[in-house]
Amino acid sequence: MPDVRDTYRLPADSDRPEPPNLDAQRRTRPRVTGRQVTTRRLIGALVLVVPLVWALGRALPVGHDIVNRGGARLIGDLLGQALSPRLDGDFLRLVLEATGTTLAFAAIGTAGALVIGLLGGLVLSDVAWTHRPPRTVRAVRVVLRGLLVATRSIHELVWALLLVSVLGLDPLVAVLAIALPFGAQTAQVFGDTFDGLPTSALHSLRNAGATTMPAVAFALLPPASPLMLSYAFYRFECAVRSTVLLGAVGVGGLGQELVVSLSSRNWDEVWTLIAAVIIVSALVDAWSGRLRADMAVASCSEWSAGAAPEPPGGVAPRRSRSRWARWSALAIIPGLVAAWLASGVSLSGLTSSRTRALTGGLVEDLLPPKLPAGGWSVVGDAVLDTLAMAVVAMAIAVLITVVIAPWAVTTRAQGGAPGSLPARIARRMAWALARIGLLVLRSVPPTVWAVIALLALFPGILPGALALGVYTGGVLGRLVAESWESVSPVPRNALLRSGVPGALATLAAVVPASAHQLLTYTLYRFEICVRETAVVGIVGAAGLGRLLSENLNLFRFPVVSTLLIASFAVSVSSELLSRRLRRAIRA
Amino acid sequence: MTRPRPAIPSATSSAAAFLTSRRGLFTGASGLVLLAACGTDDTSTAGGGGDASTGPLPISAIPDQDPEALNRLYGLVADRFADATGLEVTYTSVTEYPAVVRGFEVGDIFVSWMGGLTGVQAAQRVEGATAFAQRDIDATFTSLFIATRASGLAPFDDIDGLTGLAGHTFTFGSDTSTSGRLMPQDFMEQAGLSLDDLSGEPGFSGSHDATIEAVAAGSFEVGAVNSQVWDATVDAGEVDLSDVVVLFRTPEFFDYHWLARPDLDEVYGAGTLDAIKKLLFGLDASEPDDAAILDLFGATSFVPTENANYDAIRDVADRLGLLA
Repeated sequence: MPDVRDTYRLPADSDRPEPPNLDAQRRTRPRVTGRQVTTRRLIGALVLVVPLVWALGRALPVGHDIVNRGGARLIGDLLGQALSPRLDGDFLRLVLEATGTTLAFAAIGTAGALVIGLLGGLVLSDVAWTHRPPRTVRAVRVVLRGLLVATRSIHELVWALLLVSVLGLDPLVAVLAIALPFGAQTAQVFGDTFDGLPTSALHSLRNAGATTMPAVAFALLPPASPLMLSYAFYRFECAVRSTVLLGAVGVGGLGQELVVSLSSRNWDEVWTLIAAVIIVSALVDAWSGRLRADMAVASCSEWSAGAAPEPPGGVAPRRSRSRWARWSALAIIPGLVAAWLASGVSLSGLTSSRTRALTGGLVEDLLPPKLPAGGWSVVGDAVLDTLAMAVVAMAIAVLITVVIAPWAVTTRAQGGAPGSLPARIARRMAWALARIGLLVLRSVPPTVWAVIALLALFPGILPGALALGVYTGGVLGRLVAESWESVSPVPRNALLRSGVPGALATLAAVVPASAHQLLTYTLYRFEICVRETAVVGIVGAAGLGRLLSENLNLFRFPVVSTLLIASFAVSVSSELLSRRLRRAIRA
Repeated sequence: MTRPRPAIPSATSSAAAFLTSRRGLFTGASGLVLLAACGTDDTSTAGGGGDASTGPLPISAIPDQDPEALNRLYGLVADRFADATGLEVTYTSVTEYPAVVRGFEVGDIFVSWMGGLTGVQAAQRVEGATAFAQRDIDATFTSLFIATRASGLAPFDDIDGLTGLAGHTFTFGSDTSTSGRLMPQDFMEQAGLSLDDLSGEPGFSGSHDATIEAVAAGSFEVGAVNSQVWDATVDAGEVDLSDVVVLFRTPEFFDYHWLARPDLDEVYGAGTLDAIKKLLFGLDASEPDDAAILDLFGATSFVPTENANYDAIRDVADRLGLLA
């Protein structure tokens, strides 16, 4: 298996946080006394412990039943079928077709996101404009930024639910539900990327009299293209997972098949479909990981920090001639055409008079926002439930990460590696198992985890947190394991050579750095987790998501808009908080 | 309260491929093939035959049972509708109750088998939607409270007996089901049993089949279920019900019905609705083909109905805060 180590880091607003910029730290770090350090640690510990205790208290209310003991039998039924998935030809054909649909939706959705991202990114970046952008452009940018933040603060699944009300049962729903929030995210990343590129080429062209479009096309896009290509595939990887998730609202593909089989309790089919989801997800992950490793793109966070060691124009193309990258780039156009044909997506739904009338109707329905029966306290409770769910979910995810991720770290050949062959084989096996385990956890959509959790637990915060926690554990475990690969082995080796026992050397030299990365990624995933509570809410867990789906089911649109505003506020404030905390630990 | 909106004509037929019956794929017709087949059928003449550009007539039903059962049933229904109207008819399967109402509202579904509450919701959102047919059993429909033997609960005849469910675990069907949620919850409240008195939060299994299996497996001690689906499950003998007791049969209420969009005839040709009515009311239990369909519906005939029959459902929904 190739080493799919991730050499690609994205800025804060994408799915990965920026790595600490050590140089900048060293330059700006003020003198710190021991007492200050202790105080900070104490505050830090409180910041972590207090919410956790509060969230657990909320998730496990005293005097309420939480575990549904009767559910054990259904879970037993489910597990009992694990070794006898449904494999007859008819069903496999169905699974294959659903896989095609999922990939097609994901591909077109990603393409749409990239178009939005490219246009949005150019408008948002400063470098694309000759001088300081005119006042109108700046005003447009402020509005656009707000719109983009709002767009990505609404989860794909909620987008899909809203779009169905306007487009009806149209494949376009799946595509747009992916393209809009992903596009908003991409615009931000691309904007930062463009601004981080060296501007000399662009300026030379401009000074030589080139007009805006050609100058951008020839001087800005080529150096950005390796990054954009790897980002495109990275987004595709996420889009496949999201499309599976969208199955919960019936937009077709593997996700919908999974929902149908789950609701019929045909566990043998569920297992076949889960296997398909895992295989697809593994292949796409490996492809996109390989591409990123091959391209060895300088991380765009380094670009945006202005800390790139060499001009990226000189770094990136060197290995972008890799066969993988070339084939991948070549495959894009025919792949999209095939996806377009296979999915039956048509843009006519966007312009039809019916869509216009329905959109007008929906907007009319949504306004003015109204409070749900029960007023603010109901919304407030749902917000607190949502936060508690996210906190408990992160605790579960961290637990999973701490247990599994150490085994999933790819050890490079290094001085300290144990020598005996059986030990190496055992280590390799543990590595493969850990990697597969994490892949399974993150490939099975959280909706499915939630349905399973709801077999054994009463509806509430806990099943939702469990489902999200297990899924996030898979994502966090992989991110953290990959970041641990970059923890320098030098201090530990130095300790080993000076006679310190192995365990102690690890404790002293590896754990602090690793814990730091774990913490950074945990805070970062927390933001995303808050947004994803909508997903498990829709299958009946708790929080804003559940309230949202209840009100959507009853067509109470004025309440829906209140809840959307509340979700937006929660998601933006948790993002700001997490970013603040991340900056604080970096200092 | 949301104002009903005038019906918006359906523009495309592309939707037909979208949610085509999944298990229906076994019959070899994929969504795409169906899409490609649109408009190639020139034989449509009988019931007034719609404009060729309007595509097949999309029908649907609330997913109150397992998808397999639904696809078996509505595959047959679509065929008979096609024979009766001379149109191509596609059954659109959906995964949740509100999706049918949404589809009906936007004009992706023209004729649908609705539950009491979903029908009221749809009629509220589409001005002029008409309830035109129901089964013989639907005017006197009932729900059942069923329980596992392990719960220690015994059958009772009086509605007040429902207070005995306090302290037990309980599941509804779909959250907008009439016989699986609305009426049972109303009867529970009439008896003076609050949902808070139950053990844990009430579950929402999603469908009647799921409720029966959850109770049979002991996953929930008590469940509220549609009496017709219960009878069908007992007859089919596929679920082990030896540990399940029927506690209580609720008083009667109006429930399921066929609902048509007001622009059905306009879009698919005059006489389309009449052709469907004629087919449904003419189904004869002594004819084997008709009997097969009636059997799957758990009925012996279809009879006319009217919107006013569901006013009581509307009032209950209003009382429980389940209307927009």
